[in-house]
Amino acid sequence: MNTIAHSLGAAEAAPGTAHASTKSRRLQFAHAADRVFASAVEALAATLIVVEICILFAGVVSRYFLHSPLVWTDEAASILFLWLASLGAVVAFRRGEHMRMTALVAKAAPHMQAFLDTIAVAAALAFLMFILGPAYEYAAEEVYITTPALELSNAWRAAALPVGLALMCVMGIIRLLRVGNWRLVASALATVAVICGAFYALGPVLRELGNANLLIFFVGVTAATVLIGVPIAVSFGLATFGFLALTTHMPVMVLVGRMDEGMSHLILLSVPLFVFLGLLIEMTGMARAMVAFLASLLGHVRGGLSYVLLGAMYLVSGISGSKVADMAAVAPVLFPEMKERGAKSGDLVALLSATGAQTETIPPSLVLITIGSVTGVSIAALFTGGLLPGLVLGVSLCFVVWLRYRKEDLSKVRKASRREIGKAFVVALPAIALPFVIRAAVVEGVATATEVSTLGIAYALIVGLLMHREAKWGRLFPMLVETAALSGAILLIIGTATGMAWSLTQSGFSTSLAQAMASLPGGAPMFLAVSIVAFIILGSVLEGIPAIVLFGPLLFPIAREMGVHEVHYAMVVVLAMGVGLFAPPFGVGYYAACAIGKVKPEEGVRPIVGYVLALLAGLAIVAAVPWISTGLL
Amino acid sequence: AAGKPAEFKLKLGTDLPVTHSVNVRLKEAIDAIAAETNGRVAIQLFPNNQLGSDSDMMSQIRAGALELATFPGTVMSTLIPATSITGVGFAFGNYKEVWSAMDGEVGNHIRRSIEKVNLVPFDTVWDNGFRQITSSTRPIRTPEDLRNFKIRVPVVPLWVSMFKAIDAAPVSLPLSEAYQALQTKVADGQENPLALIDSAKFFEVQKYCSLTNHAWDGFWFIANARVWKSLPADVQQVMTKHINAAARKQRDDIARANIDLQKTLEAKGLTFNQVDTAAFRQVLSKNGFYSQWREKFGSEAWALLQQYAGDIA
Ligand code: NA
Ligand code: NA
Repeated sequence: MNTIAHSLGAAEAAPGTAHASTKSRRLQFAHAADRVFASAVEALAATLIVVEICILFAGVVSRYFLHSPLVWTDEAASILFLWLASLGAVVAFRRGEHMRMTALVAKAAPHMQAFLDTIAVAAALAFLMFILGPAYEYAAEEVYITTPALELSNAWRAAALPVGLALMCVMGIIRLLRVGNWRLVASALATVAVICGAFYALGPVLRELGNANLLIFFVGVTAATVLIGVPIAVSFGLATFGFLALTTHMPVMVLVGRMDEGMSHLILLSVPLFVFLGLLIEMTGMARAMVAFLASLLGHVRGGLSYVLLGAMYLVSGISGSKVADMAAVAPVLFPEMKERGAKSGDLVALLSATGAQTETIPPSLVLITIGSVTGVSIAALFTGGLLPGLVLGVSLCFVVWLRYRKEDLSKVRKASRREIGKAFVVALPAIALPFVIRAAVVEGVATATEVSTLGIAYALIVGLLMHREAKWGRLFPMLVETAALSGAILLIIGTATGMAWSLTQSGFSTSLAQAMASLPGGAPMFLAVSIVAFIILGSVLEGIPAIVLFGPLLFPIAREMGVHEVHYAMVVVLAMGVGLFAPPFGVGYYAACAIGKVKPEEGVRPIVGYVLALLAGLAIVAAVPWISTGLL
Repeated sequence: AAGKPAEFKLKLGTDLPVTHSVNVRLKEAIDAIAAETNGRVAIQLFPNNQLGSDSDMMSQIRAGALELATFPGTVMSTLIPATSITGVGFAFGNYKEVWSAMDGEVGNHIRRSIEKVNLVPFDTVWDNGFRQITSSTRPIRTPEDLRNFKIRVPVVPLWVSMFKAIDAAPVSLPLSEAYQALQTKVADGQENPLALIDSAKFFEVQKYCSLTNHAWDGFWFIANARVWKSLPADVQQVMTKHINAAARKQRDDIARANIDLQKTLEAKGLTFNQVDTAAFRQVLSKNGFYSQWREKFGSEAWALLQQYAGDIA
């Protein structure tokens, strides 16, 4: 993710050329510390990924092929996953790869830019220092818990957070040392300290304000810190920490517990594994073969590969059940070639994020399963009902692609002959077969959604070894490190966002909101319209599944009373939530898309507007025509 | 009391759907407590793991971020091993045995263990229900039917070891992934109380339901000790009275619902069958399951269990 703007990264490239000798000695020390430290953490993180792949693969083999399931594989994978996420976050922090919104920063004058870049590190350091004590406390309390399968102390798992956060602290200090401009560093540290001090001093006043604090912290603090370029994960974390510490009596440890739960959902393990699979497919040359084939088919069509991206997401979202994993399975394969063919990265990431929202209803979807179990609607009916709404939104996205690319200059592109297509097909066959192999493995019950990527990895390794001699095996280690960093960046955002969602939930605002929605005039159409608006906002601030768990049981009975079919209502709500989840500036899904596509968040902000409008238009159609959701039932 | 902000605001977390009888009765108790204390106590109920998974709610209630919660005994056993003793395979034969044990010495033993970790257990235990096995391949009638049967089991050491002792193949998956695992046949079956088989929609992807009654588990209503001690005695007394009364009513709800649930689930396509549990007990005994767990729970606790469940060895 070297594309992410970072003046601190620039300092790395050209270490102090004309500095005084003490200064350069200090910089040399900082660089040496950085190198030693980084290689140790990177090696550990890379090893963890390999071990994870082996554990999950062993789980599949023993259950499906040897018929004697291993009970401990999920638990072992989940313990190591939290370590992977924590160490990955450290690696990402070192490389400056934690997602930031640098749109405003980029517009500032150079000295201001340098200042804001340093503020970003200082703010992260402040958050890390605030949370380190509670993280230690949290891990210390988990000593008393015995994990059910391995019967280990749960501290083995929970220690990943304090250790990871402490390592990030060290990394933050090294990064500040490497800036090489003392006055800049001192002024940034002082600014952060003064702001934190001011909030602390205002504590007693804030405490009196009650639920207004939800707005102050989760809208005010979050928006302000995101806009000045503080990493997104840190923004969410600071807002939640401030809210808990200053306005409630609750122990801040709860934030660490929520980060633990948010970051170690086993389904999320498929994210790094799919990312790695994507890199592997690219490294072995399978990706090039596949894209060459698709390009020979669609290359002469304007925006051809964008349609491929849409189709691929529709296909893949039926496999994993987790959106971020879907994006991780598609983007690393398609993006490099699409960029080479002149696609703008901002448009690509916007489309990727939009397809994330669009495919939210394609079964099997975790969101639909969650709706089924919290509201009593048949999950089978939801799975059937979800196919067409996803298609309607897909068509509306296709329309935007057509609009955008209808003037694309294809004068240099020649339509491939049948013979060429046939030849490309043969070369690409093993790669084209991969999604079908993966799909079959899930449908036939060989592997769960979490495990299936390991089958893909095994397949890609074998095909790579047998067929693609040009594969660059030396890239394996850097690929593993890259995977770890990417996972760390994504998971830390999800972790602190989970803490934020909890803080909102416990305030109990949900019941009042549901009551307000039910009491509006205008009957079913009004209720649907308000639901759409509400779920776009909720999807944005609460993430998908927490929003459903919180509001599903409150709103579905109201929908039923108003005569809205439950499956219809589910589709409207899920798609609205998806729009919120994948739209900047608050949607976590959008940042995940940026991280996976290796694109600066600000680049996609403008292009995504068109796609979001298309999604909304599609959503309006799905809301207005119940048949789209219920016709196949 | 209307309009006056409550003096004591407490959060209560559960892992059950809103419509589950535990939540329904808790809601009634919450209203009764508010009424009797003139609005001084406001308890807000968060069903459905809204505040987090069971293990995270456990950490929250120990830290004081959450004041009240209900947990299944088997879940609490990761912190307090004694709480899972009620789930010993084929121990209790019926509710009469269960409730005399839980309102008697077995309950007291568990309550003492819970108090040791600075949590306050309320007296009356709520009903989670006897667990039954569903399957997409064959009805379970004898221990042989479970041989190599891939069954989704929650990762509770007691139950995993029980199914291993019957030569079944327990698969550990979170509940959220169970539906899909049953649909794609990653697992052939699963086991849960009827209420959950209904609410999780397992009947959509399963054919048979065998009334094995293989294990019983209850819910403990728990308070954080520091928070509880900070409440005035009169408030404590009102809360205790209403929560315990609600638990008694919930026991009756489940007893009644079980009869109805079997009919509803039959109508939704599940074929039920009865099971002779003696054969299962024999296999467990032969394969050393009971002696292994007697050692883990301690012979003192085991003797208490035997007082109510009969001779299990
Ligand atoms: Na899906
Ligand atoms: Na968000």
